[in-house]
Amino acid sequence: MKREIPLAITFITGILVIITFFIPHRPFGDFQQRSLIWFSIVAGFTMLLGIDSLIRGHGKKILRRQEGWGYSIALIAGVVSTVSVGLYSWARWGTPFQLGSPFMYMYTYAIIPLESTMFAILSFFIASTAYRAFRAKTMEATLLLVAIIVMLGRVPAGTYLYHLIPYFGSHHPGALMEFQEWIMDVPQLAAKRGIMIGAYLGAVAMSLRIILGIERTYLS
Amino acid sequence: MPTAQEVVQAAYREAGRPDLYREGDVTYLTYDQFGYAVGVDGMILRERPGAIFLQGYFAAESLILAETGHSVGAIQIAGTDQTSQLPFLVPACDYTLIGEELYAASSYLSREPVMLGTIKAEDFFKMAILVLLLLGAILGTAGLWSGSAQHWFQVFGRLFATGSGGGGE
Repeated sequence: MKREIPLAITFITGILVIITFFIPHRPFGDFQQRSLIWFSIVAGFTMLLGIDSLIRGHGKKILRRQEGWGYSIALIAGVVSTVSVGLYSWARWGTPFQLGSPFMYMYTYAIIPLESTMFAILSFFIASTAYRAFRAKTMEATLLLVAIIVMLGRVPAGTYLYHLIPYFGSHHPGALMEFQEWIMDVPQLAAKRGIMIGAYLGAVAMSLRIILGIERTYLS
Repeated sequence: MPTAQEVVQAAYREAGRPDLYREGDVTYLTYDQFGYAVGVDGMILRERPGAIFLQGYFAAESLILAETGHSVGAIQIAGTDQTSQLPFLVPACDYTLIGEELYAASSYLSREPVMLGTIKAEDFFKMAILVLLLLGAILGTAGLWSGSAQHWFQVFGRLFATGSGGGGE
């Protein structure tokens, strides 16, 4: 029964959602909205499970002084401080998301700068990945050099450099921009749509396999 | 998360090494995008895994994870259907499962006949879509010169109209 019940739930829920897509009338019409609400409730409870696992795992690490236990102290301190500040803001202001509350202060001056830092690191990672990608060692890697034309066409520095080219820069000033737009609108879009058609077909096949119980790896 | 823990535990059992499974191997980090990226990066840098599998839905954190994995020298196998992240994962990882290959991976590895049959069915549907695309392209191109081809192209297009406005990618 440990496998049959989850399979039955998956089958019934999957078939219901498919049916509601084709039958907009009650009681099927609002099933999707209702199931989204149920999903939010279940997700909230699974978040509790996750937080419990997090605190227990890191608590054990601290008690046993395992390698990296200092980071675990920082994590648990962050969790406790955020929860307490949030609860205090809720009690004092009615909602923790009130502008001016300590919770929003923490969010604005701690969380947002940290996230912006991580986003900024992406620029360095893009540079190092691009360096590795643009080494023309194989035919496929050489094709990637076409991306340089797209890059140059999208930045002011590229337009400036293009205008320095004799004849083309002066007689066809918009050619680089038009060429990079053509690359993005025609071959790039065609390839992307081909990948998306395959991906959507694969997703449909995977969904059918899960609903019909053929794919059972998620059950362990 | 409990499902993920059970799946990993079952995998160790099937491999004949249930003793190697530790509950702390599968933990919840956070729902936040960059908090998750930072947490995983920390794990990669501390534990220095030999192989990293990045499978599923990714947003901006994909390159952060892939580059950190590359920096520790791990072999990386990525898989996603997000076309916006493929340009980052393909150069940063050793192998990348693109789009439908991610969904076909479980069938390919298990070799179960029924699951392989669904991959075969997918291929037939892809072929059918390809034929319809070619037909539409020929009719659309011929429609530039011929009125009757233009009429048949419109009839052909109406067969697949969903009435939701369409457009986009």
